[in-house]
Amino acid sequence: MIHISNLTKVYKKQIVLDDITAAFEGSRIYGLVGPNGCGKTTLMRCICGFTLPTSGTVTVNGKRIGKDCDFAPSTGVIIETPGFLGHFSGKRNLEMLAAISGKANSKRVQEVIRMVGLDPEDQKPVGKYSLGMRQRLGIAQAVLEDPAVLILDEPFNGLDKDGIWGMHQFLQRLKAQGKCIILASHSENDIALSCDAVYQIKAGKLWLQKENGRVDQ
Amino acid sequence: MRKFLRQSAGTIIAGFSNLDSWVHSSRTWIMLAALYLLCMTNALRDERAVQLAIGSAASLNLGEIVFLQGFRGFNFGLSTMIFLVMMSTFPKRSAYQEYCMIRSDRRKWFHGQMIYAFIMCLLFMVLVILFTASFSAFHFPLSFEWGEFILSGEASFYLNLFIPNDFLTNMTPFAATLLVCLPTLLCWFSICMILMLSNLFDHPGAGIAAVAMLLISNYIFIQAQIPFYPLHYACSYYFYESNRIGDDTIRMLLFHLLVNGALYTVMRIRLWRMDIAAEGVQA
Repeated sequence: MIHISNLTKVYKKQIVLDDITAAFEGSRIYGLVGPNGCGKTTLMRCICGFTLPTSGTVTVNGKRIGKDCDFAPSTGVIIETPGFLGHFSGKRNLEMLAAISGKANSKRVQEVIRMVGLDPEDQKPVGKYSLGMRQRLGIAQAVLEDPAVLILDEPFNGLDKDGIWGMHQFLQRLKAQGKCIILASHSENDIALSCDAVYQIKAGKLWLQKENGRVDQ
Repeated sequence: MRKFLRQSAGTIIAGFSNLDSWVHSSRTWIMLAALYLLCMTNALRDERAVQLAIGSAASLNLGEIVFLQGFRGFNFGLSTMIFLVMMSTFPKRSAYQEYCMIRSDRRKWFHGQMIYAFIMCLLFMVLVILFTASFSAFHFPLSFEWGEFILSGEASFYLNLFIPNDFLTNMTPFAATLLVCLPTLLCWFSICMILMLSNLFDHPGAGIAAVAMLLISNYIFIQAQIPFYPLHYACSYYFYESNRIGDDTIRMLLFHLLVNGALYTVMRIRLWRMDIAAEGVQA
């Protein structure tokens, strides 16, 4: 589903991603771990098409980003803190996003809001949501159009213990539906609990650290 | 057809995601209050000038006073400065915009921003006209025809304005107001394009500084009586001097078309190869 070939990204003469080649395929959950500023978010932004590579290619669902399409097709995204229109309800926010793609109706909006444990009838504006509620709404917008690929940067941020456990179960359900999920988290526990394969990223280099119990040093 | 309508709606929604933070910003409401005071002061100034000259402001009517304000670009320098402050964060590059983008593409997002900018310019113009009219309705007689005071040329003399004959002979004050608002409207749209250009080049402050410098230099050029004003095509007060409204209007439209066409081309090239990064979150 996602093929990255010799991807290099240079920001202001600093190499952030250095000749990365990887493939993320099938209904699996892939974890990305690494220290702050190591390039996790940049790699995710390159996959989405928000950041364009200095060299190399990214192909998502058979489409080359920047050539065949501007942004990754059939991909749901949360990168960093979810941002919404603070004076509208969660449902209204998602309805507006659904109107852009035209791939989800009002019923689907209500369904995804319920799926992440929020109330679709809640008229409270998103600006008054807690960080955890916003995070849940962020997940709901990512899965809104039932995409084949999910790119989730720190999806457990702001969630309480029950919320984190619920999110793990939710991710497993999405995986069972055949989705390919890439997940970045600073919490190694969360990654270990959810992921089928874990990639380490450091100083712009990416390597497979662990796969189905097998550990590569 | 349905697909086209859906895509158009999507494009507009992507642009109008700016509106939420704009409406709920205290800066917007402070600037709107300042705008109302400015419109009130402008009308009051003309009322006093006419009163001093001929003893009664009743020689001007509502339609004429709105036209006179529009002819001066509603005090072009100050109203444009207020517009600049209100639009200074345009386009808002938030995480929500990224959610919009991934559901469309770069071109549609860009066009959505342009539509939003144009509608905001229209809205600002409508507000300026409404503010001027709402204050003036209590001070000037309600009429929408040219009165003797303007037709005789006295108004031009006392208010130090040159009103072209084409306006007085071929148009009502309302139609003339719409025409004289056009240069100012197009100038505000060009300002939005400059703000967007600097934002896309990751230097949002540069656009604000450039427009502010242009406004200040315009004032300096006028005060120093240097023949070419930097914003000559922006305000009808300075523009319609040749008494040939048709030719002048076409010249002005072509000028703005060229400027905005050039800005559009540069932005499209930039947008094609730029990294998109949210500057902050709105909620």
